[in-house]
Amino acid sequence: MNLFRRTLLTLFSLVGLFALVFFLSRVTGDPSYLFLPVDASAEARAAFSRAQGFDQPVSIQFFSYLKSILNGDFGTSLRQQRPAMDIALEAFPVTLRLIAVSLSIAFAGALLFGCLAAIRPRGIADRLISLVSLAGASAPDFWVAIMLVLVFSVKLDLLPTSGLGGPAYWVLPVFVLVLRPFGLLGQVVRGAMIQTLSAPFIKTARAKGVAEQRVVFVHALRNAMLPVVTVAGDLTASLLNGAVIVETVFGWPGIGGVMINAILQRDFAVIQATILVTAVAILALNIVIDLAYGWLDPRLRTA
Amino acid sequence: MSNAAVLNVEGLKVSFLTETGRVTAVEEVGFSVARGETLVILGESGSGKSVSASVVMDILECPPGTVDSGRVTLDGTDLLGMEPKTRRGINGARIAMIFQDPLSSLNPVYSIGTQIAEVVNVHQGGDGRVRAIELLGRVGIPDPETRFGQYPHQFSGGQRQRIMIAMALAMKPDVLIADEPTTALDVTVQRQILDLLRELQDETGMAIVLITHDLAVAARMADRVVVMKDGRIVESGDLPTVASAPKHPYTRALLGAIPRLEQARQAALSGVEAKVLLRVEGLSKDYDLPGAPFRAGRTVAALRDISFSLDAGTTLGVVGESGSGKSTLARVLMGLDQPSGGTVQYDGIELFDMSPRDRRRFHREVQMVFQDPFGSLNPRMTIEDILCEPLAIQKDILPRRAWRDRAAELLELVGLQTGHLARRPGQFSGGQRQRIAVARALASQPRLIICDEAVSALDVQIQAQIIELLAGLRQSLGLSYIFITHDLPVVRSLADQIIVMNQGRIVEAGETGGLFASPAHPYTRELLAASGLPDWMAEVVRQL
Repeated sequence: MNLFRRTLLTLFSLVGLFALVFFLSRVTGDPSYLFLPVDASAEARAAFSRAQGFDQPVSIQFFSYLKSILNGDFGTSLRQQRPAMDIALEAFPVTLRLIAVSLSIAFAGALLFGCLAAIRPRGIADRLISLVSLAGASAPDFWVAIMLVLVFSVKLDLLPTSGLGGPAYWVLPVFVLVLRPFGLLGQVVRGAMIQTLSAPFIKTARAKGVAEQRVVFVHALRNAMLPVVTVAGDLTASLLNGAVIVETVFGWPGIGGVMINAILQRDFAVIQATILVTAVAILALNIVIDLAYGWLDPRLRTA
Repeated sequence: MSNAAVLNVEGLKVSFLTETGRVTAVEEVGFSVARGETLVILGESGSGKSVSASVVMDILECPPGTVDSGRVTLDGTDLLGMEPKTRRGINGARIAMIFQDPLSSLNPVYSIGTQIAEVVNVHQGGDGRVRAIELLGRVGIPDPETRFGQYPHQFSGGQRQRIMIAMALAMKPDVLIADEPTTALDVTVQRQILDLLRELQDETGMAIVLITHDLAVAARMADRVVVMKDGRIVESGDLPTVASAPKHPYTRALLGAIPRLEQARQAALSGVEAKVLLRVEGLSKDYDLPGAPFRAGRTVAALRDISFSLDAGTTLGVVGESGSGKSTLARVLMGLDQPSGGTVQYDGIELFDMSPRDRRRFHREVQMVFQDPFGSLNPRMTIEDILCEPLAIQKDILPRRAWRDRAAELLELVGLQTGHLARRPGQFSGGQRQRIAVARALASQPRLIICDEAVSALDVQIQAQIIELLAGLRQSLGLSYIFITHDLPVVRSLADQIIVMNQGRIVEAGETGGLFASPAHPYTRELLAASGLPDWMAEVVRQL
């Protein structure tokens, strides 16, 4: 499928998703109950609704909202009284930076150690690496996060407990976020590499006199990358939704936390803006993954 | 050999560590080959030919394999005790190898040019691009500059093997080991590849060790032959000598399998009055290929105007090379694909306009046996489950309590033991699996079995056994077959009628005897010439 059609389809799904979010969030209830004092009069509520446009039929609200989007206006946060998109765009880079660093480390580590494990299946290296990656993939991240804070911040006082700041602030959240992707990807790399290393073309490479390192990292690895890229894409998408738990434990003002708060407060404009931002990011990611497939495996390139 | 051997193997013993202990794969194997000479190692799968070649090439999987004893020398230098790094310098430079399946033997994600140039780069340094293009031209790839950057899937099977040969010859090796180099190719292409190897050998004076199970290939290529069986060499010498006076029973059996295949078939129709079972008229099938945006896709005609009829109790051979449309034909005849035009009548009823009831009967009475006995049986099912599945689908054949006996009966019918019911496909050899596949096809009591290359993946002796089994079943059960194959000699013993297909058309059709005696179409003649034995060999075989 070419890029043009792909982008077109992406836009379609965005509009669909957007409509869904718009209507569903309005099903959650009337925001005036959360914004006005509990004992506010019915008139006051009606006045609030009128001011926010909530008294209109939902479909009218939707179209007027779409119209304002076309003018670049994504609505205003009820709580913070500033453009919802600003809030989303402030929080998103925080999340993005965190997961970019974590996933890069996880990916590189998984490739290296997955390959090492696959060279001698059931060898010592393999057993050790499998143990670590399995433990990493299985450990619940909130628990690991809390334990790490207890040990390294509270007891040993080596690292800050939470917040944004210099490199020291990155160590614990990144470590927690690396664990699971590293474990999962490591297993996938190992499995794919074991299979690829038994392929006939590996025999050909050896018969050509190619050095073993090159056989593993050049001839086999690129062939083993497709499933790895698929899983890596899935992991990235799930983290883009917000590494909420880790963000919460370490007090990072990422997009996941913003979204959850907005939902709890029925701050519709912010819900819509954050979902739009992550949806665009995830759809862009999917396009990148498709391109990566084509780059990795010429058989998947379309003429 | 009087002139000095360039490659010499002595007293080789190789064993594998398996779950049940150490198994010897190869024992006391020795051979040598001189410059400019071709040594053929002949034997069936599992005889140890490929293992021996892997040891020479230092690509044996260790573990589970180990070389227990023996010597391999190249120009007098010992190869087995060498430092890995030095040893690597020999692979691809002084000894090179080509393999059976050129598609899976080429790395799918790198361009073929890069893969050829890599050999030069690894052994000599530098780019290798110029040499790669020169080699591609030499092995007969047209327009090598453009094709340098293309990928293996963009080439045909024959071209891929040419590319493998170019890669092997990049450093002008002293010895080329060719492990079943033409087995995966069509017969006419087979011949071209063998001719190319010959030519290149004359040019470079390299020694060739050719591993094959195919007597015709051996006869065409060999200066000398070594026959292997169960990991040992049972016979060696000049091929004419070996063929005319085989000493070992296995060699005799191998030679004997040929006349058995070519023997005139037993009269198929004895007393049964001819009744048309299947009538095909003007059948065509087009496939639409998706086009680029704003451009119409292309249409490929896989079948064009196919007409024939099959009488009950007879066998029709459908012969053609890959891409000739024979597998598409099988799919349409099984009702798996809608034809684009024409009609198929089964027992007088139009196949693609059947009532559900008739369709059910059709699926019960027409069965299929596939090429790959490893892929077509579910590895996780027991043989009993596999054989009973058709009975579970067609509920009215037998009550459930009789299934087990029926399964046992079917196994006996195809020459296997009833004790095998609880086993799984993995525990059987290729020939046994194909017997199971036949038994499965028989389970629903069919009248017609379509065999799509059903014996192509098997060793010659096993081929002959399966053909015999099919012939016997036809007699006792009154079956009809449509036997699809690329291998003309195979159908000779079985088919009453043959149609030869090329590019989706029937180019020739007729009685088996007549077609073999006087093929009318040039393509049929080409097929016959390519798959047949050289005259002297045919003569030897005839006298057996």
